[in-house]
Amino acid sequence: MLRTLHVALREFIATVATKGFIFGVFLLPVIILGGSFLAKMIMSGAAPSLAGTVLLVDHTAGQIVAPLIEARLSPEAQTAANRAQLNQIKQMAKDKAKELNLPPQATEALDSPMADMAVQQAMGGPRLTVVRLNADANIEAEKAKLRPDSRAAESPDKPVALMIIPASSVVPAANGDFSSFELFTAPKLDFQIQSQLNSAAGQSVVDARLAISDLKDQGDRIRKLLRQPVAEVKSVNLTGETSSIGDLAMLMPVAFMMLLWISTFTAGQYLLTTTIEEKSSRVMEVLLSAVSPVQLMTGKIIGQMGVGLTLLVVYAGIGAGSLAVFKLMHLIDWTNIALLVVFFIIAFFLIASLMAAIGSAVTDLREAQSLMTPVMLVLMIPLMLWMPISRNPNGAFATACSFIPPISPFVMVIRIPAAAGSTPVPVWQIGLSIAVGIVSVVIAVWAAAKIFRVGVLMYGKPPNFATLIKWLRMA
Amino acid sequence: MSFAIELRGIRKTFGSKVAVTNLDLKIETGSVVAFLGPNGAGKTTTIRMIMSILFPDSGQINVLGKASAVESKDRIGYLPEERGLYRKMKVGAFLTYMARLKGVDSGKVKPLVSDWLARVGLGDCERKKCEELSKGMQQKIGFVSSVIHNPDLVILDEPFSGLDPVNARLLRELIDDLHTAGKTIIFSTHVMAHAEALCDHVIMINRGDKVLDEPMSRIRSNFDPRAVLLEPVTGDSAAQNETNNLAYARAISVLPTVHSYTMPKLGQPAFAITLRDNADPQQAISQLVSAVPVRRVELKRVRLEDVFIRLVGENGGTGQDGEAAGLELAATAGPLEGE
Repeated sequence: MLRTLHVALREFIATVATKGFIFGVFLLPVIILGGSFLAKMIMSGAAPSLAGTVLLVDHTAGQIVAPLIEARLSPEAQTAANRAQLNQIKQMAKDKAKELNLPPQATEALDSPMADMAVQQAMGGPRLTVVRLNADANIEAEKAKLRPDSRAAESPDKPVALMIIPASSVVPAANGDFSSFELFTAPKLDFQIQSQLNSAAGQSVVDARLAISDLKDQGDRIRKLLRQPVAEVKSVNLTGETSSIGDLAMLMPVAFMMLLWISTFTAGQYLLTTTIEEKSSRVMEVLLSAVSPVQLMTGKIIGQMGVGLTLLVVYAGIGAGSLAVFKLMHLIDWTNIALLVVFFIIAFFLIASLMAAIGSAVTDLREAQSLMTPVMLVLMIPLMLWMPISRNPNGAFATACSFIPPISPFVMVIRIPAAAGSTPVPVWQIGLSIAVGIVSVVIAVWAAAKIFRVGVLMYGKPPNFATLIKWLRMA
Repeated sequence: MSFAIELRGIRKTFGSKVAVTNLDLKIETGSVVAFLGPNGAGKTTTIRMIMSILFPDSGQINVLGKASAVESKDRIGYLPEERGLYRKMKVGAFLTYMARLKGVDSGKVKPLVSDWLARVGLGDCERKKCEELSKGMQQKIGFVSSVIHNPDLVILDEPFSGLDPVNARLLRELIDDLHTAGKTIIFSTHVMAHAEALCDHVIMINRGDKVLDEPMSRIRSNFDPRAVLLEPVTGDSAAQNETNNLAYARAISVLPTVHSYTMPKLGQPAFAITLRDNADPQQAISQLVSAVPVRRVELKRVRLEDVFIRLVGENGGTGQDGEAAGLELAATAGPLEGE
C-alpha cells in the first residue's frame, strides 16, 4: 500500500507542479468567460457604422410616409433611440441588482456621464441620409445603383437601399387589406441595418395609416391597447418563490455536469499521457522491478484522481465564490455537492481505467488516437444529452440513462440539481445508480489491470480492440 | 548449499510462440552467474518471470526463499535491458523515488543517493534533470537505481550495453564489489569477455531451452580446445614467409602429438594446432619448438565465445538440455577449425 501511495504522490506532483498544469487550470475559465463575453459582444453589438443613402419612392397621396421615414432615420432619431435603449438597459441592470440585494453603490457608475458616452459610442449605428425620388423615377435604374459594380457604389454617400412605398400600403383595398412596401438593399448589407430600415418603414406606414384614418386621435391609445404584456416569471417550489433566476437555476445541472466532465476527462487525459510517456521512455520496467503492475496502475489512478479533485475543487470554488458574491449560495445544495464527489469518484475510475488500459497498450499518442475515438464518442454523450435530461429529469429516458455506465454518473449530476425544485430524484434511483457505478468500476479496474499487465511490456504493432480482448484473456 | 533462485519446469508462451520450455535452474547464493544466449533465446522473458513482471504458464519459481519475487522485491535489484528514466525528473529526485519504492527509510535516502552518485562519478549531477545527462551517465543512474537499496540478489540485463570501456570497467568493479559483499549476481550479456572476467557460473539458453549450466571451472575443462597457437619467426618478404610456412607445416604435420592444424592467415599469423586426445600439451609444445623457429607459442584457452558459437551455432541451438549437451561436446571436442 505504501508503494502505491508513493506512486500516487509522484504522479500527482509530477502533473500538478508544472507550469502547463497551472497555466491550464486558470486558462480554461478565462477562455470560457472570454469566449462568452466575445460571443455576447458579437451577437448584441450595435450595427456597424455605415454612411450611405436610402433612396425612397413614396407613391402615397401627399407622400405622407416619406417624412415619417426621414424622421425615424435621422441622426437625432438615432440618438434618441440609442438613449431609450440605454435607459432600458440601465433599468434592467438596476432591477437585477435590486433582486440580488446588491448595495446601491454597485449601480451608481451606470448613471455617470462617462458610462453614457461609452455606451452611446459603442451603440454607434449607421449614418443614413434619405433621398426622396419622384414617383415616376425609373425603378430599374435606381436598383442598378445598388449593385457593387455601379459607379455610385464608390462614393461616400453610396446608395445602400431603395424603398418603394405603394399607395395601397396605407389605403386599404376593397377587402380591407393593406399591401406591403418594397425594400431593395445593396448586397451583403448588415442584417441589423436591414432590420432597422424595415422597422422604420413599417412603423412609418402604420403611423400613416392611423393618421389618415378615423382613429387618428387615438393612435397612442391603440398602440397601448395592442402592446402585449410580459410577466416576470416566478416559480413556486419547495423552498418558496424564486424570481428572475430561472436561467441561473437551469444552468446548475449543466454546471455540475461540466465540472464532472472537465475534471474527470482532464485527469484521465493526464493518466493516458503519463502512462504512454513511462512506456515509451522505457521507465516502466524499472518501476515494475519495485512495484507490481496492479500497484503501479492503482497508484497512478489515485494520483490522477487527486489531480481531478484539485480541478474540481478549484473550478467549483470559483463557481461557489461567484455565487457567494451575488448572494446566490442558496442555489447550492450541499447534499448535491457530496453526491457530485461520489459520482466524480465513480466517473473518474471508469474513465481512468479505460485511459490506463489504452495508455499501457500503445507507445505514443498517435497510436492511442484510434483506440480513443470510440471512448471519446461515448464520453460526448452526456454533453449532447444534458438539455433533454435537464428539461425532463425524471423522464423514462433520463432514468434509464442513470443506470448505464460510463455515462450514468454524468446523467445523475444533471438530474439531481435539475429535479431539485420540483420532484426530487428518488433516493432508490440515486442508490442504484451508485451501486451500478461501483460494480462497473470494479469490473473496469479488473479488466484494465489485466490489459495493463500485458500491455506495459508490449512494443511493436499498435493493438486494436480485438488485441486488447486477447490480452484480457491471456493475463 | 542455499539457492537464491530456483526454477522448476518453467514454461512460458506468447500466443503460439514458445518463449521458454521446461526450464530448470538453480542459482547458488553468493555466486556471479552469466546468463547467456542469442537474441530471442528467452533470457529477458526468464528474467522477467524471476522478477514476477511476467508469470509462467506452468512451473514453480522460488526467489530468495519466497514463492514469488513480489514478496521479496525489496531484496532484489533489477536493471532491465530497456532501462529508462523520467526525462524531466532531477537525478536526485529519481533515485530518491526509486529508493523509497524499494523500501529504503526516508531518513537514509539522501546520504545514500549522494554516496552512490559519488561512487559512479556523478556527484555533481544530483540536481540535474535526467535528460541533461549523456547516455553513459544515464546508464550509470539506472544501475544505481537498481542497487541503491542494498539488495541481496542483483539481476542485470545487458548492464554493459552502451558503456564506453572506461565506464564498462567501472561497472565491472562495482559488480565485483557487490560479489565481494556476498550478493548474488546474475547478468546477461552478449560481450563474452565481460562474462569470462566476472562470472563463476554460466547458464546458456537457446530457443527457450537450457543448453549449458556449468561452473566456469568445469567449462574450462570440458571445453578445453586442446590446441596450441604457434607463431613462427618471419622472414624479410611475404614470398619468403609463404615458402617457410609450407616447410613449417610439413614439419608440424609429422609430429606424433599433432592431430590437425590450420595455416597462418591475415589477422591470425599463427598456426592453430589441434592436439591428439591423448597428447601431453607440454610434450607437444617441446616438439613444436624443436621443429619450428618460434616467435610465440601458447596453449589455447577456452573462450566463452567459442563455447557459445559451438552450442548455439550459426543456425540456432541444439535443443538438448545443458548437461547432455556438455557431455556430448566434451566427448567430441575436436579441432575448432578445419584441417
